[in-house]
Amino acid sequence: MVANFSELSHWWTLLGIAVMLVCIRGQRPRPISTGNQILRPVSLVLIFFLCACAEPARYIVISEDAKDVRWEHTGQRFICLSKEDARNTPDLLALYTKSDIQKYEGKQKDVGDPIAGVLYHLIRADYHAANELLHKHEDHIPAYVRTMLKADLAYENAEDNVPPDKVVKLYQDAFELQPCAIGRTIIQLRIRQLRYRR
Amino acid sequence: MTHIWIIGMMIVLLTGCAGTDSLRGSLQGRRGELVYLHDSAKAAEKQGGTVKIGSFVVDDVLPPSTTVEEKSSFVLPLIFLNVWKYDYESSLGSAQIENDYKQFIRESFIDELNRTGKFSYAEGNGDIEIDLKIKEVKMAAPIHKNGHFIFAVYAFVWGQYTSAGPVDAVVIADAVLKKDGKELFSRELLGRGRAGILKGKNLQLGDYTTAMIEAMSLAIKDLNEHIVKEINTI
Repeated sequence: MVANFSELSHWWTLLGIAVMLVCIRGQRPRPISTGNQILRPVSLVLIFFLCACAEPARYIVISEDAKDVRWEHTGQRFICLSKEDARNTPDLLALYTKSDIQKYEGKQKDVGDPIAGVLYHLIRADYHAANELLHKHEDHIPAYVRTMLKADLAYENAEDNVPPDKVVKLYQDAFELQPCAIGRTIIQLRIRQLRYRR
Repeated sequence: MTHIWIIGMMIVLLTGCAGTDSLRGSLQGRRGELVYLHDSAKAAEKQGGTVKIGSFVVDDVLPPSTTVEEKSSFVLPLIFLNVWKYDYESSLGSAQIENDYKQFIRESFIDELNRTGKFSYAEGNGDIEIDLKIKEVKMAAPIHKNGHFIFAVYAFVWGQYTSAGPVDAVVIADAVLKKDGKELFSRELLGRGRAGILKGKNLQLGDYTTAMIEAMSLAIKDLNEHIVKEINTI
């Protein structure tokens, strides 16, 4: 696992601003050809699309045996599934950016699997829907996923404000059951984030 | 022109000479809970014996509220080139801790005992008895502030940089273990915790209170693990 805490989206934004400034600066002193007049706004739109597409997803679903887990952003959170559960939800795995999630939304028709259903709402940051579905299918979701989701949704304030010590207690319950080491490492990180949350 | 002078001198006076009061205010403005994750390996199986807590005393190891003390200062006021550097030392106060820290130390010790101890914790009679006294908390929590103001007649350059940390906390306890009234061991045990350095443009000094609480939480965790390890050697 590569732990690279650089804020990728910020770099993309900075790059976009830099290119915009170059374009704007170039417009002032020189007469612009018709081709450039069209190309410049188009390139700006493309840059903004690029920025939006590269925006990292907050929640990323991975399999227990995933080998190329990229941890690029401190805001990234991983939900680690056992091999069997990951086999039931192959399309949900490793959606690293918001554009990956949008592509998944485009092709997904029916979510029959309760785990996939909750995770679908979670990766789209619809925490209230995820929480509702989690409560509805609680008995059909394995304990290691259920405890982690409960803690994460408490962190996201899907229910009324849960005090930090209660959230840590929920993470403690999830910690004991995590199938992969990264799941436990992430819990430590989340507790640190919880402390510094303002 | 006069305005630039006035603004420049005000910046130097207000930022370079900002004292301990503003730092103390920032640190006292934040509160947090002592809390940590029990991640030590669970005892595979209990041996069947029990351990009870004879006495658990936590002295007033923290000052009532967070303090900041100036350790050293350096100011070079040359009008056209002004440089300043201040070093402070802060200390966590109990008012910044939301939960009862004495109760937290006791409860977290029992949790650790239940988790990793080879003896089970007993509230009533136990095969062995431990007396604990938390007698001191040492905390090194530095804050560094430096800056410059360069006055170039028609313009000025000004910059200030603050960094805080790392926080090193040490919790010191006396532990006495007894069996049938006979002392098995009596020793001083330490727990250490460290929280990272805070720096950068977005630094909010209030976060440093959180860092001190984090270091203290980790030191308590380390102490609890040490004590239970010692009990397990019996």
